Amino acid sequence: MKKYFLFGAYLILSLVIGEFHPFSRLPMYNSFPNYAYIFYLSDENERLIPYLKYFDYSKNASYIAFFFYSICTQHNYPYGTDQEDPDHLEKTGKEIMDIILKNEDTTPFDFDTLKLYRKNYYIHNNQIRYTDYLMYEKAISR
Amino acid sequence: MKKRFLDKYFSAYTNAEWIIIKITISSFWLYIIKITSINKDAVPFPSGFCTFFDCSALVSSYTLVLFFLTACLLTVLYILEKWMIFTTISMFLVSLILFTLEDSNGILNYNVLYSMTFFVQFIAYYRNNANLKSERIQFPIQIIAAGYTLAGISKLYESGLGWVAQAPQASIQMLKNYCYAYYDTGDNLYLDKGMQLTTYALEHANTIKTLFAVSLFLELFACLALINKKSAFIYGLLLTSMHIGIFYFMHIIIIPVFIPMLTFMVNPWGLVYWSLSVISSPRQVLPR
Repeated sequence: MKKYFLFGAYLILSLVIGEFHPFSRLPMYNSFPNYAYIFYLSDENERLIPYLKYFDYSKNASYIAFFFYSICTQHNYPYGTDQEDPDHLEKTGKEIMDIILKNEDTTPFDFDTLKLYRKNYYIHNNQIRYTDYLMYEKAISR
Repeated sequence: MKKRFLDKYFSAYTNAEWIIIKITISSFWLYIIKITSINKDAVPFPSGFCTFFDCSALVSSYTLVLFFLTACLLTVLYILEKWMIFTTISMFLVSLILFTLEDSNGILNYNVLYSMTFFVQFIAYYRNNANLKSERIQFPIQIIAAGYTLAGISKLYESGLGWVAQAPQASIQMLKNYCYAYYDTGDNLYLDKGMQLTTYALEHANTIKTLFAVSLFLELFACLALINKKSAFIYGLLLTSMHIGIFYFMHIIIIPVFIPMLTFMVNPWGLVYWSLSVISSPRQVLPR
């Protein structure tokens, strides 16, 4: 019985308490909706700006996605399957851009404008399709 | 001879294995703590205990450096087996604070198993009974197994058995993770590999569904790992295979879950050390 006590206790407490560190229901990939958002950066010439070539690890592509979902949840903006309100996307984009550029020395950057896009992959007739949406752009002072 | 070798290996946890486990788990913990400690100066999305208290005072660059230095010191004490009641509860508290701050910055990395590992080891050391050598390893395995079971229950709760049927739609999640690598680095190879695997997943829906069904089964019945050391090892190998499959198709390693599981359940370096020690002195180790 001792072999299973902590197993059972942690299982039950996590199910009851939910997302409250050190408890969690570990809900990673618990559903597969028909959309996948990726957020990427480009410059004024639509040249890709890879996150890790210009910024540190705390501003990588998967973290930017975390920021998007956290901001939408905080403001109660509905999200997913391309349903976002353009105004909400712009506001969310601005907040994400602020996070990206926070504490950054922009003098070494080799671009004048930074654009944040949301790419949405989805499946239609067993084929992969995507849409691109410009959420926000900002002039870079160097 | 082979059977006797394995029986001996699975009969108990040795001190050498424990030292290897400690070095592995604390090194990865320190690495995650280092990543967690950088570039935070606010608590924009309060979570955990930060929903009750204003945690903004905890995220100045000075306090984060202090937390990291404390974590370095605690790692040394942990590996040297010094003041383990104090050390393990302190590691739990540092984890609790820093990982809550990370969650409160909108980054949900689910580092709960790390925090709980140190907490249950604190319980083992506090009890300090004759089974300490086993409990300081078996208690974390209970938490890790619970983590996998929770992940399985979460899938059933959110999607029901339809989670397996949804598997072909996971193809775009596979592509998403390869896209993350592409947009992080600008390397086109990630995009090509992602498209290739996604097309395969769409064209071989039944294969993907079968793999997903096996994964769900492994998660839900992770308690089977708790029977004994041998079951933990075998189940650990099965879960490792699952993670390798996830990495191949989805280009992600869920490090906060995978590393504790691999360290406590499989402990590959411990097995290598044990094998080498048997080879070097077979008469001392193998019973007649």
